[in-house]
Amino acid sequence: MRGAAGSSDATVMTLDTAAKRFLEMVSAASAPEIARLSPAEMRERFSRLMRLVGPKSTPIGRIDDGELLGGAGPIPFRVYTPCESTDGCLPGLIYFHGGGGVFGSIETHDGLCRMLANASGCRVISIGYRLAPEHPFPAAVEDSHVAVNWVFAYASTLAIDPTRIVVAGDSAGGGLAATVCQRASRDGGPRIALQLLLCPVLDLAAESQSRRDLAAGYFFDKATLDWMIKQYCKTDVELTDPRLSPLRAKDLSGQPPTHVHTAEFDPLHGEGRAYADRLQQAGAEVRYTCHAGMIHHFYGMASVIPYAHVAMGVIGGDVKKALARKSHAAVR
Amino acid sequence: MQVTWAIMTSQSSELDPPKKDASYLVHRILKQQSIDRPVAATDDLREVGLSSLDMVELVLSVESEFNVRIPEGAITPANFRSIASINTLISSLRT
Repeated sequence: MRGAAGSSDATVMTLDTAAKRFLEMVSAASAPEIARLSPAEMRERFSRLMRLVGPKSTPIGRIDDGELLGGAGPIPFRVYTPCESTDGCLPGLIYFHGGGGVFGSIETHDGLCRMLANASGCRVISIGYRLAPEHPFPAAVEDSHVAVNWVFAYASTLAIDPTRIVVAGDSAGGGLAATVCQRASRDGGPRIALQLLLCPVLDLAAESQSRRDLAAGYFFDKATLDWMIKQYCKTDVELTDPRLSPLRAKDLSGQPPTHVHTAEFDPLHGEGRAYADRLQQAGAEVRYTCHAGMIHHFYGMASVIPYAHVAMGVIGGDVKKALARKSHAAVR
Repeated sequence: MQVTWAIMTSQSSELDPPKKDASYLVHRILKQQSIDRPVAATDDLREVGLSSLDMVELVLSVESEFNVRIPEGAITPANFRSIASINTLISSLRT
């Protein structure tokens, strides 16, 4: 356990200066009541926000777009080959973008995936799973499961080493990654080398301290979360279902080594920490990092939060090191 | 010759309006959001329809187009209430 950019155990929480400036920008105008926004409006707003604050012109070795066959039709994906190595077999990283299962896309997370590919040395496969409310839960979960199995099955075609495949995601995509990993271990599915969770949504029914303390004013607020749940879940769904709230799964044995990254000023950091603790108790190898002074999705806002570059270097570098250890262990 | 010159000037200014003050930025952002109406210097931008995302774009645009850095604490609703208040802020940062 560690805290980047300062100690996560500090009693006085200090918001990062750049994150504070971003929050000031957002609050300098009157925001429309989120409850009134349609999914289409929210998608457009998030896309625009990412165009404004996301990383700009991040170089990449190579990009390939494709489609894999899901249970309900084709699922688009994009493969990012890092700058350093464009040939040969590489480790793979399957990425599920955030956006509450309602917004976000391969495009909104394009810069983030480029940074992650370069920092981790992995071929990143970003998955365009189906979104609610057109395709409510469990469509995204099913697509994620299919996508992971597909990448393992076609690893040699993708020039990916099947013994070094990471399953990763941010926010709601982190929840999808956790759910996929749980299902893989429960059903004797593919052996996932590592799971990487960035500010994950892990408990839709959570009433954690951070959810209460940071309910408003820190970019990702309770109103947004409530709106997303309403769009993502039909009314008859139990929010405690482990496929929606992986933190509530009873058995967490057999989980792959896990890196969890949370942000100090993110209402979700409580559930991220709790999941890291539970995985460790269940015997998994866990690395937990709380990024001091940061807000939800900080790593995707490199244009306004310079620390995102540092963080992505650390996040990707840790993945690279963990996979290198695995590679050495396999040789022995 | 003079007529040709006048037409060219007209076209040129339409494509690339002069960046004299924040008015240009505010109108450009509002036009992107299909709000095509004149905004007076003292109009309250929130009442005109500037959203929080527009404000993020406005702050970033002011910084890049006027080559200034707005310090922490200066991105306030008061400083960004109107075109006039933004111009005052830009002037204070340039001196």
